[in-house]
This record gives sequence, structure tokens and C-alpha cells, in this order.
Amino acid sequence: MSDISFLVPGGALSGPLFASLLESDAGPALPAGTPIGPYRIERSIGRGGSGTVYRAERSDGAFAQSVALKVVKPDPRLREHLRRERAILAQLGHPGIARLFDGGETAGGEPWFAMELVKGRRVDEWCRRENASWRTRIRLVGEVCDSVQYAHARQLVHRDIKPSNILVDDDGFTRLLDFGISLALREPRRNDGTTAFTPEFASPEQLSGGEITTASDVYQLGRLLEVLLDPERDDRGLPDMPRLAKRNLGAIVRRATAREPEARYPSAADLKIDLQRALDNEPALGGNWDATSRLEFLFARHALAIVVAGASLLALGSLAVHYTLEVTAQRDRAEESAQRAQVASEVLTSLFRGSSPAEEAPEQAAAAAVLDRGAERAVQRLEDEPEQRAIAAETLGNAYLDLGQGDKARPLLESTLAALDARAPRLPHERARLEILLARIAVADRRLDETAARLGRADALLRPLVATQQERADLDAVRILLAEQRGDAASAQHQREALIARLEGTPVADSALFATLLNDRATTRGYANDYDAARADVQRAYAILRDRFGEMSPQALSMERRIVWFSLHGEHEAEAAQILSAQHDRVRESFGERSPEFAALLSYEGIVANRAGRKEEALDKFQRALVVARSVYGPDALLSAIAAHNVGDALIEMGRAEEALAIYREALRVRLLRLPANNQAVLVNRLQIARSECALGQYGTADADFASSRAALAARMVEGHPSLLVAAAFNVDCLLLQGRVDEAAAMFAREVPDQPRTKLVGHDAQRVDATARRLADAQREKR
Amino acid sequence: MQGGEFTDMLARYRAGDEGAQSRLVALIHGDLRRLARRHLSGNRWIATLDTTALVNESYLRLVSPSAQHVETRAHFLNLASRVMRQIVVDYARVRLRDRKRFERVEDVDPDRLRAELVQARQFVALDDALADLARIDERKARVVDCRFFGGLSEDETAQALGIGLRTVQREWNEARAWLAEHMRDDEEEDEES
Repeated sequence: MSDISFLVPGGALSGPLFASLLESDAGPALPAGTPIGPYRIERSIGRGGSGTVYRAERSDGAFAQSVALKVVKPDPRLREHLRRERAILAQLGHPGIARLFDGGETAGGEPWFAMELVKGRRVDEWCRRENASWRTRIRLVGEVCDSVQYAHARQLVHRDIKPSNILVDDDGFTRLLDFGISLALREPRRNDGTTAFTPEFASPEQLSGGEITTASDVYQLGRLLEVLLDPERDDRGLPDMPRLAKRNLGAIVRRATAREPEARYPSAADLKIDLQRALDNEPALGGNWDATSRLEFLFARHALAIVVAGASLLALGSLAVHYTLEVTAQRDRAEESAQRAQVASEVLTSLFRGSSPAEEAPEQAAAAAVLDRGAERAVQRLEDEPEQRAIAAETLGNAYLDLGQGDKARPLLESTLAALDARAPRLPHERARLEILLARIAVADRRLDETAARLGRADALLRPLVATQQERADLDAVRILLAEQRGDAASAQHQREALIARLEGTPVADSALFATLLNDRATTRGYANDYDAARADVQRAYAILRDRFGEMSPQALSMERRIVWFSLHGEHEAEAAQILSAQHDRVRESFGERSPEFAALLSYEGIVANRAGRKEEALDKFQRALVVARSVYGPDALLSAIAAHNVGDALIEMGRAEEALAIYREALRVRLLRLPANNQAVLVNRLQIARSECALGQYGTADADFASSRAALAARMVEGHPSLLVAAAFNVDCLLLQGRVDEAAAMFAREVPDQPRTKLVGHDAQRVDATARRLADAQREKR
Repeated sequence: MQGGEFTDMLARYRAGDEGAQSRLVALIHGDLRRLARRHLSGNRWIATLDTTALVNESYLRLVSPSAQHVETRAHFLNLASRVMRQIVVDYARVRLRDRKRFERVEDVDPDRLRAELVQARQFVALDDALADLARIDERKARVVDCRFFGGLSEDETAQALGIGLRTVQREWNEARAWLAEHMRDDEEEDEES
């Protein structure tokens, strides 16, 4: 049984359907075959408040052409407008604008237009069905901006930009409809109520009957953006949008839809520029950003936490590299801090950019000067507010320190501390925190006595007070760093364990500091081959950072990749692959393909592919990461060197030794610009150069390079370290290539003794075993 | 003038001029909208109108003054109810197709749009079922045309179809029962166009 409760007398004539039929300005659909101009109606394909659209076929036999034919109600102003502008409209040849072919009047005096027939869906509906990401939506609006800008350059205003006038075609490109014919359509007729006019997309000047200029279109583009990004309008919900992007786009919408036309973007092209900036995580030019916000954008853009927490992990292409870098992460932070410094100068440039355009100095060389002036200015303003000045200095100091530019913050912190001592001796907490910050800076610069002195003063200041747990934890964390720098690894480890135990269950256990402690402990545990425990630590650190900064924060993402790192080593390959594939789309969405975040991810994917023997795929990933690194940081940046090294690793695995050699040499050149010759990354780089040379038959140089790089590595590592074994295996391979079987056998017996060799696992074990097999084969052949 | 043209078209239609029907549709539709607009002057919203009364007013305007003859009036009401069915059901089909194609849809309140689509589906289903019913029992289907689509009273329906009042009542009830049995409600049709 069907529900026929609607079947009542007069039922067809009541309710919303009949009401909309009465409201519709369009007459009943013209029957198929009706001739209009040189066209013949096929069928109606749509109906709107302003008229009916038909699919029509050219009927004069001149040529076959299907068009969208729109018949609207008569309007003398429209007629006049079209008479004037038809020539221009006919020349609108932009791929994003549906062409207007022809127009005229029916016998009944109704204007008609023949337009390009576009197969597609209206943009909002397309987004809903495709569940389009916010990036895609912005890209679509950007495309419409291009089309509108093209028309504006020809003095044409659309006046009616809204979702129902924008179709997305089968290839995913936008087409703007009704250009030039919207002048008289949809005029507000608020008194007669019979048009379904919705003021939703009308600019204020359109509603008030003011002068309509290109600014009105800019307003409507802003509304379009707002509507497409409004999660309320999309019953499937808008895919997650990072908070920062939300703020950025909010600023763009506000600027585009400002009430006063002069306050809007001067053109659609300017709006497009800001949309692109939003996609690139750059603060919109139309927004009003304070220094903190600029910094946030910079963090998002450069994914600073990669640099801080895992920069060295970019370079995990070969097994030798990753071991040395694991060590690097713990002890020798030279490469890492050099990277930080580079990013920092960019931070500082952009941080103070805009505060005074005359001082804008994009060159990195000038960045320091810009910083000094900027910091000076920031503090001067608070000269007479010691407490606030202390907070400002602390904030800035923390930022500098996170960027590895602690020395830059030093004068600022010291002068602030001196001012506090002189003027406000009653602010012990503030002074203690500044002392702790200065201690952190001192320990990073290896000024160990100063570190100890400052820690002592901070301790003395805090002792009589009820110090917060955070303050005590900060202080103890610097103490651990001090112990590490003094070479007392055991004490550092012991103190770290104690601090972690003490903080468990306190509010500080949710802090970034605690995550750092866990991550540091994971490094130690990994070094001790206890990968499962290390993995548990970084999993917990990840949970903290995720809850604190959000799932898509660079901090959380890079820590999640630390899980990948330890999973790969702990034979949890499936989990590693699963994390990476889950990150892939999210990272691309949030940061774009040209971001360092995405490059880091690609590097990891390359490592996984390389380990699984998917060499072509690994090479592709590494090459893409290299392109991004070079374009973001420049060819002489360490991150570019690391990415280049990865490419070399993939190439040499594929037997393309000549290309590998060239790219390893390039990586080495860059590293030596910034790193000491005995840095482990440099040594591993030279080791790979030796391998490449050997593969190319340049045995003399290969032998020399093997000898010197292996000796230097051995000097820096514990005996029997897996990296040393693998390095020796590479050298043995080279001797075998030269037919020096006896020497190879002797080296293998001497340098790869059974005892540490049997402890090798996974990938390392496979490589050494392969060398052993080759050696055995060569010996058999020789006999 | 409208009324005159209408009567003229009515005569041509009765004389077998099929082309006159589409003109009649246009005339009724145009007149309804004009009338609606007049009633809506001021800020009244269309939903506040008694649309059935409006349609009846339109009939009166179209049929008078030249067609006060009882027989002409009966023919008029008979035709008008069929024309209204055509107008309403055509519109319903267009709405459903628009919704699927999304090549153009007005910017209307989504709740209202949904309500319109519910009605559109009901009317289209009814139209299909009525075509089946007409093959079995044309008179019953015609009663539904007059009562439901034409908004005619029982008296007017009796007049339009040349049957008695009691027959109208009985046929209406039986038609509803048959329709409840045979109407298909395709709640969810394919989303793809």
C-alpha cells in the first residue's frame, strides 16, 4: 500500500511545488522542435528563476552544433546592453568561460541566447559529490578568479557569480556561465515577492542599487569561496581543514566581501594571489597578522618540527647512513643545527617582514640585521612594562631557541634579565625562566660553565618559591643536556629516567617537553637495539603531540614518522607502511606537494620502497623529494644534500653508478659548506662515493676513499657498530670487483667478525650476508 | 482578451486542432502567474496564498464572459483539469530532472527544495498510476484529474464529466483505494543522470 494521504481535493495546487511553479518566471517549456533563430529546441535541460534552458541543435544546416539555449523574459535594458556588448561578448574566448555564440528575440519578444553547451555539475554540487578537499575547492575558486579577471581586463562585469552559474566539467575544470547576460537578470524586486530572489550572493552595492563595478564581482567571488568552504552547507561535511588555513581563508573572505568596494581586493587577480598563498601556507596579504601568526605560518610551511625532531631522519636512504645519523641525533647535532639556522633566518625575515616595508630584506644575509632591529623594536615598546617585557622576551627567546638560533636571542634575554634585576627584583619566576632559557642557549653552544652557573641561579630563585612543575622540569631537562654535553651519557640517561618517572601522572606529562624526553629516550633505546621499547616511547610522544598540536601539526606528523622509523627496524614493516600511506593524502592536502613535509614523507616512502626492492619507485620518490628540497631551501641547503644523497642511494642500488657518483659529489660539496670534515654524514657520503667509484672501475680513488672514510667512522663509533660492519662489507665488495680475493677474504675476516655479525638483523644482515656469499663464490672460483 | 483567446482556442481544440492544446497550457499557466503576482503585491509570501482559490479565480477569468454557456463551461472545466495535470506533472518532472542533472537549479532554501521534490515524486508516481487506471476505468481517472489536479469541487466535477454527484463521490473514493493499491512509490531512484 502506498501512502496516498496527499491525495486530497486540490492537492496538486497546494504546497511548495505549485508555489514554485507560480513563482517561476519561465513559461512552460517549449516543445521539442520549436525553432528559435537558427536553432531547434531538443529538450529543456533546466529551469531557473530567470528563464528556461534548452538543449538545442543548429537547424539551418550550416554546421552541426549543440548549444545551451536560454530563453528569458523580455527586458528592454538587457536588449540595450546586449546590443552594445555583443561584439565584446563574442570575443570572450577563455577556457573557463562558456562561450556566448548568438542571441536574438523570439517571436514573442523574449530574448534568447545560444551558449556553449557544457557538460558538468554546478560547483557546489560537484564538491559535495566528490567530497572535494578544501584545497580542491580553493583551486576551483582560483580558476573562476582567472576567468573573471580575463573578462574584467575587457571591461566586462559578470554581476551574477554564484554556484548555479559555475559548472565543473568532466575534466574537473570550472566554466562560468551567463557572462554578459546577467545585467538585467535577477534584479531585486523585493516588493512583489514573486521572484525567488535570494540576496545571498548580491554585493551590498547591488542590493542598494549603487554603481556596479568589477568590485562587485570580487565580492561575489568572496561569497563563493565562503559558501564552498562552509561545512554547514555540505551534508557530507568538509574534509578536515587545518586551523591555520581556516584563519587564513577567513581573512581572505573578509577582505573580498568587505562592505566598501574600496576595501576589497583591487582585482580578481589579487584575490587569486592570496588563494595561492593560502594553499602554500603563506599568510594572506589581505590579512592583518601579528608576529606570532606569521611565525605559525612559517612553522606550518617549513614543517620546522621535522628539522627539530627528525631532520637527520630524512637521510635514511642507506643503512649505513641511518645508523650514523641515529648517533648524530644523539650526540653530534651539527648537521641538524646548521639546518635549523638556515630555516631560522627565513623565519626571522618573514617574522618582521611587513612591519616596515623599507626594511624588507629577502636575502638571507640581511636576515640577521632585520631580526635585530625587529627584536629591539618589540622589546623597546615594552620598556616600562617589565613583566610584559619578560614574557615577550621569553616568547621570542623560545622561538629563537627552537630554531637553533639561541645565540641570537642571547642579547635580548640578557638585557631583559638585567632590566628585571634592576627594576623589578620581585619577579623571581620571570627571572628564573629567563635564566633557564639562557642556560639552554649556553648548553647548546657548549658553554658549560655558564650553563651550570645559570642553572644554579635559577635553582636558587625557585627554591624558596612554589615552583611550578613545568619550571622544575625545564630546569632538569637542561641539566640532562648538560650531562650529555659533558660526555656523561650514563648520568644523562639516569637523570632522564628519573625525570620521566617523576613527571608521570602530572600535568607536565602532557607537555611537549615530556614528548621530547620520550623521544630522546627512544633514540638511546634504538641505539641499544631495543627497537620495540623505542617504538613504544615515540608512540606515546606522538599521542602527546597530536593531542597538543593537532594531528596535522608538523610536530605530530614528524613524531609519527619516528614511529615508522622504529617500526622498520623492529620488523613491523606493515605498520610502517600503513602510517605512511595514511599520512600521504593528509600531508598532501594540508601542506601541498611542494612542502618540506611532503618531501620528508616521500623520503620515508622511498626508504620503504628501497628496502622492499622497489628500486624504480624509490628513485622516483627520492627525486621528487630532492626537487622540493631544492626549490624550498635552495641547492646549497643541507636538506637538499640529504635528499640528493637519497637519490644517490637509489641510483647505486640500480647499478647507475655514474649518476650516483655525480649526485653524491654534489651532496658532499653542499655538506662541506657547513659541516666539519669528520661529521658522520660527511663520512657516510664519502663512503658512498667510494662505492660509486669502485662500481665505475676507478679503483685507485675508491680504495683511498674507503680507507679514509672508514677510518674516520671507526674513530667515532663504538666497535662492532652495524654501520662499521656494513661499511667494511662494501669495501670487501670493491676488492672482489678488482679480483683481489685474498685481500677481500682477509678484510672480511678481520673487519666483520662473527660475533657482532650474528647480531645483525633485517636489512643489515642481508647486505653483509650477500657480501659473504659473493666472497665465498669468488674463493670457490679461484680454486 | 485572454478569456476571448481562451474560448477561441478551446473551440479549436474541440474541433481537433491538437496544436491548440499547448497554447491553452501557456494561457492558463501565464494567467495563473499573473494572478498570483497580483495577489502577492506587498510582501506576502506565496505559501500564504490559497492557491486552489487562485486557480478557480483563473478559470472564471478565462471562461467568462464569452463562455457562460453551461455546455462550454463543462467543457472548459473538463479541459482545464487536464491542462492543470499536464502543467503540474510536467513541472514536477522537470524539477526531478533538474535535481539529478544539476545543470541549473534556483537558489532556494534546501528544506523547501526537499519538500518540493517529495511532492514532485508523488505527482509523477500518481500521473503514471492514473495512466494505468485510465486503461481500466477512465472515469475514475478523470475524477482524480478534476478533483486533485483541477481543484474542482464535487459539483464542478459532476458538471465537467456529466455524471451525478453521488457518482463523483463514489468514484473518487474507489479511485483513491485503487491508487493506494497500485501506486509505486520510488523513494530512492538512481542518483546518476
